[in-house]
Amino acid sequence: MSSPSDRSVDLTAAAVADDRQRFEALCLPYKADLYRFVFWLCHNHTLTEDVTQETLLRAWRSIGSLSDANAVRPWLLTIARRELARTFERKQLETVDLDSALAVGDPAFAAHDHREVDEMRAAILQLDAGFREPLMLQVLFGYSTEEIAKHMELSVPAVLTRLYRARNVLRRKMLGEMPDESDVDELS
Amino acid sequence: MNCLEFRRQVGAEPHSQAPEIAQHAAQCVPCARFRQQMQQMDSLIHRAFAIDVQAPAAQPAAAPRRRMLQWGLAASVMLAVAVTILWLGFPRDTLAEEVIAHVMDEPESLRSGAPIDQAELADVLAASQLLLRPGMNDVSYASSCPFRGNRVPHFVVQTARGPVTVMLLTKEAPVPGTRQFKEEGFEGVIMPAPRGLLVVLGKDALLEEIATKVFAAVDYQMGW
Repeated sequence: MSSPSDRSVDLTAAAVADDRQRFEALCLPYKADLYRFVFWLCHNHTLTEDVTQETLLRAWRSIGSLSDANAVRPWLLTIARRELARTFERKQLETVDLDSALAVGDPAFAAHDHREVDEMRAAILQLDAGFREPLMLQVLFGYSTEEIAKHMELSVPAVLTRLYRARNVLRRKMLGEMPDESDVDELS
Repeated sequence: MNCLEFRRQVGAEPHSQAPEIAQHAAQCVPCARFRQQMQQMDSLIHRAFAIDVQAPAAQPAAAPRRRMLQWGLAASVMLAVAVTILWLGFPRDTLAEEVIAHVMDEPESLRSGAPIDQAELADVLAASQLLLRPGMNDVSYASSCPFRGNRVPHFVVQTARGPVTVMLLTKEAPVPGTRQFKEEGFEGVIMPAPRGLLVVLGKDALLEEIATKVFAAVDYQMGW
């Protein structure tokens, strides 16, 4: 017969195993999404790996507080967003020259050798992060405008404006035109 | 709705299904073209955002992780195991990975249920210029879903071996042959279709059989 302390250890181990199983089932499938989300906000692989790992650590610690299993991805992206903001607050990060970053052949970009994809990536990297993030959430992750507004703590009209402006800038860049500030500002 | 309002709305939401958008596009050829261009650009934006996430793993080891020492030994061991599993379990195929993520985003689609009305499936297919022929029974779920910047038919066929997910990616670039994948507990096939690709996904299911059934039941000629 096991002693009460043995049973306590058993229960704790069982709880840890349950948490681990839940963490692996719910969070790990979104690792790639998490990585892409962070990378496009900071375009630095080392930092992306750090923030991604830190996000998963925080998710692991908080997995018990996750009440809606259908909301795992937004939950993870919100953690990542806050973690990245904390990182930026803590230290002044090195900046990367965009042209050289693209020219050296980032391995993450190597999978697509289509010229137009490369051009679009260059254009996206030059977008203001405040435009890039809602566009990524909408196009890559299928967020609705309302979900983006909630994630970024913005109003719905503000999100619509940013999405419009982002696409407007990208369209002009892809067409080889200079961004038209008057056109960009027309929704202000 | 005038042209400026239309372009503002479509510029923010190119795949909006709002009736006033459809109505204006039906009446205004330049605006309809603008909408089509924005949707095509979204497909390119999606491809641009979908970077290869395996590449960083091949890079030299990064600097020591921040604040790792703050964690207790037990948590560290547990997390090291989790992260190792995570890296080893990385999907090898971006498209397969995205299909699986999409399916996991819609867990209700995999629930068993009575077959839906054939008209509902026909509507979903018609939204992608596909025509439903007789023979596609036992479909329990059908939806026109956002995927890689396009709306694509996503439906689930109930079989004796469990639910099988089918996605008709009519806007994807064709591939030369059938590719099989096994990720996250799912088995799947990606194969060329008359337009784009067909993806069939299940767990221990007869995927090729379902693919054959889909090709027999879907007419791709409608959009040519």
